[in-house]
Amino acid sequence: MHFYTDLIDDGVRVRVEEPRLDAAIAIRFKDRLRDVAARHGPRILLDLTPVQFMDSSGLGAVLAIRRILPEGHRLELMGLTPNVDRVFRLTRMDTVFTIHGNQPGFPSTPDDEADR
Amino acid sequence: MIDDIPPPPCGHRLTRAAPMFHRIFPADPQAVRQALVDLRARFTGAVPSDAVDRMELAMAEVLNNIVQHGGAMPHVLPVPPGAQPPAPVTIHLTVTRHAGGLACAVTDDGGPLPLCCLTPAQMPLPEIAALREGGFGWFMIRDLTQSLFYFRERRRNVLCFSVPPAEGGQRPAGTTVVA
Repeated sequence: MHFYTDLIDDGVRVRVEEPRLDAAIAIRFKDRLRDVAARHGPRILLDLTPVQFMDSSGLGAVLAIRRILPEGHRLELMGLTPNVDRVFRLTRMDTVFTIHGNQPGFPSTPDDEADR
Repeated sequence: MIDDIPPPPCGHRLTRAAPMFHRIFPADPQAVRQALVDLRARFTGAVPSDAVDRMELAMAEVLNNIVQHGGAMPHVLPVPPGAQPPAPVTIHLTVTRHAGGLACAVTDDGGPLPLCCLTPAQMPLPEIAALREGGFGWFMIRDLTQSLFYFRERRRNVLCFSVPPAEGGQRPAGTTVVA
């Protein structure tokens, strides 16, 4: 389970350096991300750019983190590849997250909802 | 692990250009991941990439369901001391390419599939669904597949479905279940 974190103005960006966010990795992913979310905030920006495949286990892990965020924290997403985006769309979970586009110049343009 | 069956040496090929993908593997997350990676590699270039993507996701959900509910998952739920460990579950997976997309058959010797999985149900409002532990897998399977068909044959589950070549193809009204 590889990811790296960048401190940003109002929290942390977590870039998931895994090609697959699936059942083989979901529990470790959730545990690691929960630790990061407990230490940083209020904004947790999850960068999924390297993730080429995600199943409902991966989605479940992301939702689990959202449920247990400390008060006042928020989880946002960026860099959804087409297969990852499909999972969010099919389950309508794209409506419960703020999802940013994939922006190379991050964090200079922190709010690019229009790019989606 | 028995790997993919090669094409027959001569004759009886009919019109199918690519051999079927067939594999037998244990119901554990790592074996499932490897099967999915190899399945993708087999059909990449042979069918539209979008169909491969949808097949991979549907198949992942089907296989994960077998791993989670069909039998043993010792790294998640340790067997209590003294208890009988659940018997290991073996999955047989076959995928063939045909004019209507990809035809998939999955059988396993785990516990019976709860029939509620196959009954179309209304997805709760997203904000409610987001608070639940799971339940997304079967919604996606039903969205991504056509002609989903399940039956229990002796001690095996048999699940068949097809993945259409283009998204949003004509969809039958529900799932066929043979009890």
